Amino acid sequence: MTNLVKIRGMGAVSSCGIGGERLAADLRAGKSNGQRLTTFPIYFSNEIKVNQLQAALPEDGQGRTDEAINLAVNEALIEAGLALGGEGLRSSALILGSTGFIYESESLYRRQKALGQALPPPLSGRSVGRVAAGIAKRHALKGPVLTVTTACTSSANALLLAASMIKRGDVKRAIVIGAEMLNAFTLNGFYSLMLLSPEGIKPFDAGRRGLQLGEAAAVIILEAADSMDAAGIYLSGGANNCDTHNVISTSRDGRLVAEVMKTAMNAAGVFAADIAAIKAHGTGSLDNDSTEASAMRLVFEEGGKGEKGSAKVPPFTGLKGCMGHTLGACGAVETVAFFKCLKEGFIPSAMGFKDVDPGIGLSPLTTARMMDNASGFYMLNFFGFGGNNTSLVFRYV
Amino acid sequence: MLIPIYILSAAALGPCGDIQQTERKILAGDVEHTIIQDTLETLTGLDMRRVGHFCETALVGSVLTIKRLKNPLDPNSHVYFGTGLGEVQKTMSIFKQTLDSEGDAVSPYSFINSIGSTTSFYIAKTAGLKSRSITACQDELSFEWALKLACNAIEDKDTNSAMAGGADEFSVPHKEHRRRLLLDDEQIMGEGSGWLYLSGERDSAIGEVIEVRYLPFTGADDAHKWAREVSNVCKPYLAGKPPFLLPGFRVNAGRLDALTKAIPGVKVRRYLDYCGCFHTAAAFAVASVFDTPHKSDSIYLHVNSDIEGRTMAVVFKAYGIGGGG
Repeated sequence: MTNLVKIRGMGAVSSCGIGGERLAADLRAGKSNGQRLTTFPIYFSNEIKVNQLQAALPEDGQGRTDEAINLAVNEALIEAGLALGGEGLRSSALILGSTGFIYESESLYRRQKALGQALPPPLSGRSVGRVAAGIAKRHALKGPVLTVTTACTSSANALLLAASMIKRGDVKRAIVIGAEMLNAFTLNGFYSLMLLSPEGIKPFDAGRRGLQLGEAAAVIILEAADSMDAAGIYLSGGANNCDTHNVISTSRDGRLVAEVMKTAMNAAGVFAADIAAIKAHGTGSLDNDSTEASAMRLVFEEGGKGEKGSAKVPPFTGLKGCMGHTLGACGAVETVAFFKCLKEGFIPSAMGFKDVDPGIGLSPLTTARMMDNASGFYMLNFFGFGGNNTSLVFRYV
Repeated sequence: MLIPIYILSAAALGPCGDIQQTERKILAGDVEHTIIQDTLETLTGLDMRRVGHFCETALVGSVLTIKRLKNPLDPNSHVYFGTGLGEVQKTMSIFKQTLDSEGDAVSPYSFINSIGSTTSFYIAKTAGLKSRSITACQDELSFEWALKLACNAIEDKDTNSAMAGGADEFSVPHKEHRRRLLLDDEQIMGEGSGWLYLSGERDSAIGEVIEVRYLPFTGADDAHKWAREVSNVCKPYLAGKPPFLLPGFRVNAGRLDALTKAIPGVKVRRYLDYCGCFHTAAAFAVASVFDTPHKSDSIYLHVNSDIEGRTMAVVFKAYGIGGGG
């Protein structure tokens, strides 16, 4: 049994390219990778932009998904100094977070239609659970295999559950994967909800108009640690709760979102004043950014009173302006992106933000914050449909 | 388990709308959908028109489980929900609309219902819960994972109580859905849900979860080796009294035979006759054990595997009338 969980390796494939460093480079450069959708047709494609994977990937759905995940796994393994098939990984848990892999079914269906063949039944592709099982089988992993589907908090919850298994002593290591492929089904759904922005994501901005969807695969290898003395990234604590106010938006007062942040800090054993910076969820949607800002105020302005230090919201940023909202993958992808930036000595600005919303009254970082010494506690927040809220607190040493 | 995990209430919904033992029927073949909206509205007193059949299926079980609680519901209870395929019918409808008639906007409600966390949202909402809510989708082992995560959370003192359940629905045409489940010709397809309310407190308990064990590949082709591994999970708890065996739908005849030999005197309960095959049939199996009171304490072993051979075994005890222990 241990109370300490450390990140041993990370990898990512995203609209920034192959590798976690690409995320940091584009965040440093303030580069938005939004483009018109080119991988499949949708009738409103000229009204929106998306963040497509930038990697040479097989065209078929299953191959594309698997190869994107493989690229991220390989990068994480190299960073971790571990080899697939080796003793160090064989009994590891594999926990995947995603909303699903409907792109695979869509891809198959389109190919059959184009060939004029008898159509296979829709959704004949792999279930979300079978993707994780397949990865484990290919890599001869004998440990527990689990898939979490809690919308946009899926891979953040995968990190939380993986840390729990390690702390319990069930496994020594866990490979956590967040993966999401753009698909017509989800784009149509968000379009019907009028949540897609024609202008890219503008987190917390007065003129925010919604989300820009993206695709990515990211891998984080967690393992038990003996102490927090060594340099590294430690998952100190986290929490999840369910705001049942509305299935697609949290209550405007931010009470439940504030609650999840507080519970995460309690789990990590830290106070509000200990948090050096926050990676906000920051989708750029009208309601959710307001809720998130209200929650940060409740926790750090109201709740911070009487604690050590001053009671104000720490510097915060949002990453989706660069890589889009990668839905179930964002927990893993944004964790990789944030800590790749910290390793390079900066907290990125919230790309897309220009003007303070008077209704929010808070400004995220408008320029990158350079850090001589980035050591400290960082809060990473993720919220999803179904009122699912997750907050993770990491310690960077 | 590191500490006892008590079962305070349970409920199972079968494919014929059956929620108690007198309503359970042996299925003669693949059944048609049963309308359960009225049952749900009666149970909740709410107009749930916007949710789909899958969500209704999960909710009938979860709401009934809470109604059967003898003590007040702990407002800090977690929700762990397992489903193999989730919302199939709404997803199919949007899929066809999106891929076959490009240019039509999809129904926002259908889209929302197709999202993985929507059903657990309604489970939490109808129960008045706002604490942790996790949906696990691991094919044939989805319910077992939900149950394991719930037990872990109670053991780790993250919560004192939790709802653990599973649900799946089928879609029509049956042939298409059978292919999705990779069923043999002789297997009957079903749907339903099952829920347990778990607690670290013994008061009013009707049973307890003893083990939820994940068994990695252990000689997938050797039925006897597999059976030994599975039987070892329950043997320490039998005290000379043979258990009831609840075999899941991926336990083939060879494995079942090996398992009955590995556990002398085991009594096989073929629950799939009543609920049919679906990814979370295990939830129906475990919860429906509590349909009627037991005369004496009884140990049950549920076992199932995924198509690649990973296995999960659940050992639990149903208390006899008068308390148990």
